[in-house]
Amino acid sequence: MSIHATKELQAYWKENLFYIAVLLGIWFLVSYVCGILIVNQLDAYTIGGFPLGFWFANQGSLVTFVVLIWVYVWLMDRLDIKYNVQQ
Amino acid sequence: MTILQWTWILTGLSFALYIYIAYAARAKSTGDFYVAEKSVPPFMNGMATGADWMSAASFISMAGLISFLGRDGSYYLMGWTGGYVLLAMLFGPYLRKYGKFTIPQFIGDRYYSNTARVIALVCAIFVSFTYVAGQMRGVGVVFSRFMDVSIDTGRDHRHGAGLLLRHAGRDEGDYLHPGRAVRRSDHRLSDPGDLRLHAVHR
Repeated sequence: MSIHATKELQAYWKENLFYIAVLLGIWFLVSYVCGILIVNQLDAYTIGGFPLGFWFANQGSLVTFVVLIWVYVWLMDRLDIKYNVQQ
Repeated sequence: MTILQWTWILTGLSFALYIYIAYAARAKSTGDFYVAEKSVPPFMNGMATGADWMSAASFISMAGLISFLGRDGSYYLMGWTGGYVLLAMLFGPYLRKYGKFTIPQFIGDRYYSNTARVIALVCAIFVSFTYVAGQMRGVGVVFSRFMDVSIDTGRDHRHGAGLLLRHAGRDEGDYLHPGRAVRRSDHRLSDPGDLRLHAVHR
């Protein structure tokens, strides 16, 4: 069992934190930045007939959230196998 | 018979059925209570939890809030759903690895502190009240239309029945949600050999 190899576990944890940072960065970008902060600027464009900023707040961010969870699960499953700590 | 009489009879019968299911499949332990003794495949468990959230609070109150507030309602939409991402990334895996069912349990054990446990508990109670307030109102509206009574009476009927269900089943689940009932009644039939720990957030 490689679970006691501390150095490996630290590397595992570091990669885990990196994934979370990137994914939560996207999470922040689509909801807070695109849906709230720059929503008026984005509304100048349209997507499928809707103002882009409005779309981000009401559909785009939600779809992205679901995708983020899927990607996180996929990445972590791969990481668990790489460090041999899968269940 | 009038439509109203039929409504009362059918509603009464479906409540009786739910109470019977709740009683027949009542939880026997803490593990049973939260994850059906881990005897249900993760996919089923996820479906049951998903069904649990499809309630009056999300369908009626959230939708009503958003249509009432217009664009400003988007904050609720993003906050409500964005929270799931935080739960999935920052809590889910660790609850699972610790083998705990609730966030207060996990926080208390992880930080070796009963103070932290109590703080998490108080937060959880606040979250529940916020959630339940919307749900109560939504249910009251539905039942008042349905049974031709005032919103308050409708709410009381619904929650009187809910109280009975909970005592019959001794379960945290709300048996008005079909997914829960399916999960409860199914888990006795499935093989308890599969012990994949599947933590459910509440």
